Amino acid sequence: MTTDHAFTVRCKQIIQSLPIPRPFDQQSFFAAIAHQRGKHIELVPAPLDTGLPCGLLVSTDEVDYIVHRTDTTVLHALHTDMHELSHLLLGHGQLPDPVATPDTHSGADLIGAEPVNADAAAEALNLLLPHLSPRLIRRILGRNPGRSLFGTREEWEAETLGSLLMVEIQRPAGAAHRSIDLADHLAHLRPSRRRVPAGPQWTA
Amino acid sequence: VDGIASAAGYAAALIAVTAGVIIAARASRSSRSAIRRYLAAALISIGVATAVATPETRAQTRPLDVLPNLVGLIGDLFAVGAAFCVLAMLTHAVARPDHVRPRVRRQATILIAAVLAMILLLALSATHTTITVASSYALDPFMAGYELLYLVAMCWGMSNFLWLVRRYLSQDDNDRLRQVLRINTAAAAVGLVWAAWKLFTLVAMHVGLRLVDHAAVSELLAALLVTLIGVGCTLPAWAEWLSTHADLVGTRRALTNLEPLWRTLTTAVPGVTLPDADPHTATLEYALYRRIIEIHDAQMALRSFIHPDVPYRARRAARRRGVPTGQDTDVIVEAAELAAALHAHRAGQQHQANTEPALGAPTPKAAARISSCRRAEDGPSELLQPTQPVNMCAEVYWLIKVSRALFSSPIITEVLNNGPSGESLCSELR
Repeated sequence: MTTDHAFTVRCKQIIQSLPIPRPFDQQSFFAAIAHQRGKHIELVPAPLDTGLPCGLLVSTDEVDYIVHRTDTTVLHALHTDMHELSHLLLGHGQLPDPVATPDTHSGADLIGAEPVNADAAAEALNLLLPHLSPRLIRRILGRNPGRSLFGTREEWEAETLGSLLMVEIQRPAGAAHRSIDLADHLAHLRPSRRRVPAGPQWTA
Repeated sequence: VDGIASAAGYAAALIAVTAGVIIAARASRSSRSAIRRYLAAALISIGVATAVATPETRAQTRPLDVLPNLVGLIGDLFAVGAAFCVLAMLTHAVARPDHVRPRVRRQATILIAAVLAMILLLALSATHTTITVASSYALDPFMAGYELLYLVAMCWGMSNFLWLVRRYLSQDDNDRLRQVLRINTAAAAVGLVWAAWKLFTLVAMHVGLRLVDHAAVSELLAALLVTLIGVGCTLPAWAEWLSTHADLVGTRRALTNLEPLWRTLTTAVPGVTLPDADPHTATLEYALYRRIIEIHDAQMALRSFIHPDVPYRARRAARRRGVPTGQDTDVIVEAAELAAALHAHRAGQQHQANTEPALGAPTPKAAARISSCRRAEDGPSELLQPTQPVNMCAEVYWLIKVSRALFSSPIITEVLNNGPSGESLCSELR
């Protein structure tokens, strides 16, 4: 993987375009992103077994399902969500046609570049998203710390953008923008002065 | 005492002038730059006045007094000018736009009149150059008039400033502004004490009281006043700068403290590291964040190597050694799990039921996987429960404690040495 300054710049542009609430609230953030993209995002916490990916992105035409483990810290789970969201923001893993049958899940993209067993993948999905017909699935991506996490360009990009996004949301509101001194506060008095009774005359 | 007063005065002057320069430098960024210019001018003027008024400056500039007490007069005029700048600034801040220009003109007219009156009164007073001109010539009616005029101008500027702070800025719920408010309120209190002291000095002279070092007291109070004003006006900007740099130091220290744990885990599970970060991306906070995530990813990858008995043995050992239950014991348990998992990983010994590669076989079914995971959550293995830290600071704090326990706690040694296979593993970790 080569160092990619252009990609970093792109990440920063993407982050700047995102409606990050301050203070950060995951539900409203994902709802705003869904609104922005015009496609529903559903967060699915799941007690995934050891060895399964710690996060999955399962996309249909109507909904993007982001699955994260429940047996980890909140920060780690949120990072997984951001990683999967980054796949969406970067337009990764788009498949040309809906998957025809469970057998055609090669699963090659389920956990990065690692091939996985189709039956196990299908069963896991059946349990996590029982209402979801495999025929509707257009994209499956996974984040699995048990394997080479960032063996593909797409995984590396999603992890980088997800990490930058996490660093950004942990900044206090306005911290990166400017510091405020007394003059700034005085300069903002005028718009609200009518709410305050007139004070003493400044001239003698 | 004069030396202390001079040092305090120079320090205060430096703070006020620096604050003024900082505020002036930001003028171009503000649409209300008149306010900024007047505030900067007020701070620089009061800084200069404070420096000029110090006993040391007055002594050193005595040769420049072509007219008696000329340098002292110049210092006082800077102070009166500062009071005018404060009034003009407040007018710009709160007066109706169509009233601003006439009011500032009126204030400028009063300023000029006051300046001329002070010059005239000093000239008429027939004083000789001295550091303590106000007290030495307190009985001179012209000099007393000069001092009163000076005090009225200063008190008028201060009281208006205080009124604005109390009336307008106190309604703001901004925390930084509240800090400014508190400091400026303290400054105003010191200013009133300073004015009262000056007035008392004048009265005392008239009634024949002799005060020791009254000029130095006055200078010290003035220095404190100017320092508080300078700090108060720019505190939010300074506090933010200090806070940012304190955060950087804290982040660097956290990176150092997490280094052993991160290195150990990523050596065992190298696939969790994100390669080739762009140097423009790699800020310290980004590096720290990545370190936390990579530690968690490695922990997750090592889970299947934790022997199911390890948490139980760790808790028992912790209880035996008097470790308080709760977080302290949880730290021990997590460190013991890591130590055991690292050893088992090196030995290629997976302990949990799913020893086959994840999703690698059609059986056991995913249902069994999930239910076994639920059992694992309820059972002895308590690694990384969701009740653990929520934010980055808490995560760092937690992981540093785990790291310290892993590398230095005798309980971990005990747990490992009494493991199922009885191996001594500590040397591998340390």
